[in-house]
Amino acid sequence: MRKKNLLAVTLMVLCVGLMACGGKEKEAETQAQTQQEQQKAETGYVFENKGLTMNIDGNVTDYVAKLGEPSGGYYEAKSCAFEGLDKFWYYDGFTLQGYQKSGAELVYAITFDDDTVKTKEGVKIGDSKEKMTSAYGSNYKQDGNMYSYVSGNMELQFTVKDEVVMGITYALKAE
Amino acid sequence: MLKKVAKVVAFLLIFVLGILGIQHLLIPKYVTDIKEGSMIEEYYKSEKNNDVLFIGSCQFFENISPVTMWEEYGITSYIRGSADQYIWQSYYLLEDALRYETPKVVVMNVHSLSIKKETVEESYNRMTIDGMKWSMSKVNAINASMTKDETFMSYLFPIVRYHSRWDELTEQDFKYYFNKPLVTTKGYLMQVGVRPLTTKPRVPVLADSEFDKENVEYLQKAADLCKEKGIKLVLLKAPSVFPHWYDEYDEQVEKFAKDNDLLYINAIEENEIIGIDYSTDTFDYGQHLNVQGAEKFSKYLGKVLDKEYNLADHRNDDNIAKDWNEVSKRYYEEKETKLKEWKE
Repeated sequence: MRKKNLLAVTLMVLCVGLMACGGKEKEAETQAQTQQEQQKAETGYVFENKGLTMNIDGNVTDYVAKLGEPSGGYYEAKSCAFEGLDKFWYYDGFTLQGYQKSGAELVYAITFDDDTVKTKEGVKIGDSKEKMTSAYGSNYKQDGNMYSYVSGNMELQFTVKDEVVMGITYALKAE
Repeated sequence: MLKKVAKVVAFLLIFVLGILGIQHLLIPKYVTDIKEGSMIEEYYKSEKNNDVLFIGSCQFFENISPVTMWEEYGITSYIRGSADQYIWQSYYLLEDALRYETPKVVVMNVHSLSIKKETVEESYNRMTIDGMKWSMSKVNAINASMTKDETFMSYLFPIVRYHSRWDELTEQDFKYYFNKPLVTTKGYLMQVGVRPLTTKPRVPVLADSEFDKENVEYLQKAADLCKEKGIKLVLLKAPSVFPHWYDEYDEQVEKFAKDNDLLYINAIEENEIIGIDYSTDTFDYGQHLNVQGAEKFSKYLGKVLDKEYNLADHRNDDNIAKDWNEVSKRYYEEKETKLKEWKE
């Protein structure tokens, strides 16, 4: 009888241990998330269009309300299995991409689609790499054709081919 | 003394069984939500007499209907599919499947060649790997897939990964503790909704259009393995409008196919012949096909495979037809139920 009790107590201790462990893990996750959110309070490089200043992790719903109906339409893509959508608003010259976080719709990326728009610092698609470095300096992170300037919670990415800027994206910094 | 040893052994046995029991309870069941997590283990319950094996991600398991290929051409096939299946996982799933059967044709998803390793997500790793039976293929799949925060131990003892689910357990976890219903028909996950493509997604400039070297190496390993086993390998880009399939990707696959003497089908280019209408045949704005689109595509695909490889028509083989007739019956029941639910 005592042995049975011992066994039952052991299993209960194990279960409680697992539960406690899970609780601690979740607490740590929450703390880490709070820290990350605090770090992301810095907006980094911003994009201006039609008098509106937009930044990564800014409220995309507000931006869309102010920018109006996207001329190129709206598209949404679901993830392969999980809930959640990537949302794209196609405006003249740029694409606004949103994602969901903690119930809010935030800006995930702003991608230039042609040379009719430029960064706040004056660089557009078709400009030379030299113009990019004049505007942003040489403190970039390079990965193949991609030159990234990290600031706050975001990266301003330039795709450069043959010394010419072919693409510009404001993107959420990779974790 | 012997009695004491026996008691200790009995205690340890009960303890280990208790742990395994709790572990099994904590592992997600993937029956009503995120069914994609059930697909890999489901293969082991199926008949292993397939002439064609499809290996790939949602571009396969939502776009190809094996039942249609059976009905049209008598082709026996199965989709070893899982969400966001990376190319190295496709290779190890192929290795794993070849322990059970030797199909005449293996069709692999080339879309996964474009996925960069740094974008790998743990949750998708789990959905592909957890369901694999233990073998060296699974061990190698784990080692090739793990993100920096994952450990081999968490795959060996999933309780390490899932112990914190104790407060997320639902009725499902108990209901499907001993037995889970099938979520696919021969690996096909049916979608019946219609969400038409109204906005053509823009195509962003690619900073790097070259496939990762490691991805190509795994495809080469698959090609070599198939060659060694006398299996014809086919490379397939399934129909979709998003994510964009770049010309640079297409050229690299064409070259690989040419170098290895393989058939490459880019179904995007065959859209008119297949007859896909993105205003009616997609459930998610052109990313994947609904059942109507999947049936159209499967008629086309079955015809190509049949013509190229002269596959046997098994419809008059009673032993094989018995299983397929049951699967077909389940397929149409599911289709009817889901269509009714969608219309409501």
